[in-house]
Amino acid sequence: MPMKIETRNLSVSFGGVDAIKDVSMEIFANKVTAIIGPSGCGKSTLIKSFNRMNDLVSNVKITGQVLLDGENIYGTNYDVVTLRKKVGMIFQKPNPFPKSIYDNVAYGPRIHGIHKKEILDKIVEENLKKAALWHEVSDRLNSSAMDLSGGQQQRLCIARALAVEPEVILMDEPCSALDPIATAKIEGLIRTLSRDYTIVVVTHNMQQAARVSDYTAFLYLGKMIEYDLTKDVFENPKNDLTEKYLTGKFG
Amino acid sequence: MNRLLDAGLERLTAILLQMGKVAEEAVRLSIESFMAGVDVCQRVQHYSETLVEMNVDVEDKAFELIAKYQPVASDLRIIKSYIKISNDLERYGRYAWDISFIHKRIARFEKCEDPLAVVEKMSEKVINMVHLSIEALKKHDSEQAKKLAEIESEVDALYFRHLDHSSEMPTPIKCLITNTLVVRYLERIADHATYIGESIVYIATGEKVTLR
Amino acid sequence: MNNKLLKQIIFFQIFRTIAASVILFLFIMIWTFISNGIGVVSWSFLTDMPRRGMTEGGIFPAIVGTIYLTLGAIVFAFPIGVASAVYLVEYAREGRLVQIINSAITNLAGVPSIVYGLFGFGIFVIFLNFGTSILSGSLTLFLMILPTIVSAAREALLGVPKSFREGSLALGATKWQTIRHMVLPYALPGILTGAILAVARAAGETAPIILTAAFFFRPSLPKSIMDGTMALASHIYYMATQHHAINLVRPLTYGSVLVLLGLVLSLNILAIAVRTRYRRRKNW
Repeated sequence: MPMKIETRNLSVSFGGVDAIKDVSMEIFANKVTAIIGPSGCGKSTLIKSFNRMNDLVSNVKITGQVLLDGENIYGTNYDVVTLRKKVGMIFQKPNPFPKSIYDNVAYGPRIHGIHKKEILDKIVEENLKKAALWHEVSDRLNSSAMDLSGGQQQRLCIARALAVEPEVILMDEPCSALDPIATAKIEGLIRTLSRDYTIVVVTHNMQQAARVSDYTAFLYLGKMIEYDLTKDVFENPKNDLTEKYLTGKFG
Repeated sequence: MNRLLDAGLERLTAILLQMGKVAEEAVRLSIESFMAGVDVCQRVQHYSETLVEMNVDVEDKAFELIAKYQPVASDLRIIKSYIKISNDLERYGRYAWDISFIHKRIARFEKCEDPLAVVEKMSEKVINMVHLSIEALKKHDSEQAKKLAEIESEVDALYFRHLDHSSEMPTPIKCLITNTLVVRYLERIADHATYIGESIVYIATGEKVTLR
Repeated sequence: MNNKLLKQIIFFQIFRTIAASVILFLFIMIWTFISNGIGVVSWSFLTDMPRRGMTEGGIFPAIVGTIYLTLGAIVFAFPIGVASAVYLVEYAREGRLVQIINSAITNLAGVPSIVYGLFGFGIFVIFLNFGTSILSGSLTLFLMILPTIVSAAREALLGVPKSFREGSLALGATKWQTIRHMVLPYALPGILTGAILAVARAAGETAPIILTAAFFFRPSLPKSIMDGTMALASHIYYMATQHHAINLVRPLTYGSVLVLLGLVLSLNILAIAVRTRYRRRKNW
């Protein structure tokens, strides 16, 4: 099974407070990996270390390695900008830019130097289709993205992320601000996209993890407790803590 | 911590254990009456019908819990296994009835000879297996459940002994048929006891084993 | 029940009276200026040179001088102020040093203008030997309004949601690209509002320019930045207190006040208009 991302003894702390302790795991290519665990267990911190978004916090300390296609992304000469192009991120609260739908999707390509209208038009259409949003907005590409519903905005954010041609897509609780129907659409999208991209989803909703992922990792207080095929984790977890969390026997 | 699922699981377990009681009683009654030449067909039929109803009940309740609570891990294994075990307990009742029915229908309560005492020996073991399976169920005891494998092979050996020597037996045809059928039913009850054992091991350890 | 209601009514009336008296006071003040000065203000007043020792003529040089001084100040203060704010908000690492700098800037905004005037006098007029000139005046005003602009720009930048920056960076944009495309455009209205208000302040301050740039009577326009100049604020001061015939020129004084008030008022209205338009269009 080809590995896309590998962490080796990864530890992240903020101002001396540990968020992740000594986590070593692999994310397999073209699979959906879910990361579950109670609030504050370090799930968001973990995926943010895959695209170095943790670097934005001023008092962060990171030890260990994170390898993308075998290269350590925390190495001294690694280009963060290219990293973030390869590893995209969808946030918990949909954050479309206050621009038109077209300009939202075109933002990434423009930043990376693509300015020709014909090419941008194609990119916008292609990625809105990939995000299952094209048919709903094709007639109003120039209207403001802020007028879309929550679920549509999140799909727009997905289209926007896809437009820079990433290889990995990180999703930090992508559905927690959405209603059940919008959630179901995004979950379907996750499965479809996993054919072409490697996807990592953080979720506090266990059923969602079970529905959507091939592999599930259970994090507790910053440590990786269990990591296995989703069907095995949910049918017969090997660790007692995992069993307790899944069956709701946590205090 | 009391989860919403727990109340449902308790009720489901209660029905199942009640089924166990009824099934054990049905098997015991049917076999002992057969050996004694007594007609208990109606009573056993009643037990069997009760078990059929309770099986439907268990299935409904289990599906309700699945729909409402989306159980996972051990909860899911328990519910899945309870559905299977409920079917096996219903089978206990059915075979118990089959035994008492055949006794009435073919042997017409004539005391039949049993030269190899197969029926007697098998009956003892099978009643024990039924009892063991239900005890193991009460505590989800996989060690106790695994013991059933041993007894099952003994039961099988007796069954094959009867089959091998049946053509040589001097007993009248209807006795031969009755004994053979009863021995067959006993062997099936033993099988279902091992199925229950396998389900219990699965609940406790998540392993899928074969106890035969 | 009645007691509570009564208390409510009493307090309401008290607050209403206070507010009304403030507004009344304002009205009285404005009315005084308008009634006394409106007769004087005319096209010639605005475009003529002063004559006969400021007892006749117009205040054209004062208007021009105010414009030069203010423009000079904002031309430096705007880019430097905005750049400083961008550095402080977007680049500087959070810590004690940055906190101290931010506090210092906030405090500087409250330093009395006479202090800036004296400082400007010492540094620009004397030490650097620029003398009484538009250069000294503009630089002094620049120092005075810089903290205000930095503060306003900081507020505007901080008002841009973090999620814009995160979203942009997550797409592989560099920090500068993010600032240029996703922060500055949305902070600009707030920055402009602050800048316009700073300009209004610069136009109206007397102490800094009296010490560094202003002349009383100059019936000609300044020829270079090393020249001193007349200015509205200083002109009003001189006319009201230093003139040899104060009572005679009082109408002209009122006229000048009206012109300055008009200028400052228009700038404030412009700032409000920018802010209102931006608030209405703001959809995030």
